[in-house]
Amino acid sequence: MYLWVFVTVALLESAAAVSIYLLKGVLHSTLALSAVFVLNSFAFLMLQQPLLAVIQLFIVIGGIATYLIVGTAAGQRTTFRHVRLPAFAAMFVLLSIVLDYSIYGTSFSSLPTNTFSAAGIAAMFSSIGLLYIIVLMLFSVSIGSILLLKRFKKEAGDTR
Amino acid sequence: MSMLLFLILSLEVLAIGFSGLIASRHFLIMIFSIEVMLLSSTLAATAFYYYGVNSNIGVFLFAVWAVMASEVIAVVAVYRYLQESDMSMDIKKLAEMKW
Repeated sequence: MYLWVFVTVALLESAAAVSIYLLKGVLHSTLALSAVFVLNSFAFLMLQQPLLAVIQLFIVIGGIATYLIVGTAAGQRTTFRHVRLPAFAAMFVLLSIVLDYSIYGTSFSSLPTNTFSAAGIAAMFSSIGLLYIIVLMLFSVSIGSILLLKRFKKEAGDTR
Repeated sequence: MSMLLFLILSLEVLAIGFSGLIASRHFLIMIFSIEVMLLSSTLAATAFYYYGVNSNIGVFLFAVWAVMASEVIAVVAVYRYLQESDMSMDIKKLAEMKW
């Protein structure tokens, strides 16, 4: 693996992540977010995890498609300035210093050994209860959202 | 190549996401920030896994991806409400939501 490939991917991913906040339209921000996802999967590939990279891409592609639809529809509702850039820059510099200082001077082992494979997925099913919790969480969010919004709508209807 | 580089990348992406979450007023952009932060966590976990931490990260990754998928559901639901109520995507206006 070449260092310059990693540096290129890292710079592009950081630039795409910053573009989410610099671009004015929500649709453009959504496209920048999808670029972050793709470049992150490249980083997974550099970590010798092709299966995880593909699974992540397959999972997030549905989310990105939905965000694109909502971003397009929300265009007319975003007439305000949605990011305070000075606050963003100050917070980013501060957080970068704090987070990078936390690992500064730490020596990490550099013996790459593990690659997530189909056997890893099979081993995952030994803790099948956790997977059920994940599925339960998804259903809870969707049902909870519907119940909450029905209540909001009912209350809003009563006040009109 | 060292694991340190991947950790620095994931921490930088985390910093960008958190800064965006703090500095943004737009509902969707804030959700994007959370997505970026979750993405950085998957990268850090995978880097730890690859560089020899002997554990199965499958459940963690699927949990993070499930949270990301849940956000999409919540976004669609909230957006539908905002549209029907003819409200702005500005989170400062969310106080106008009737309970």
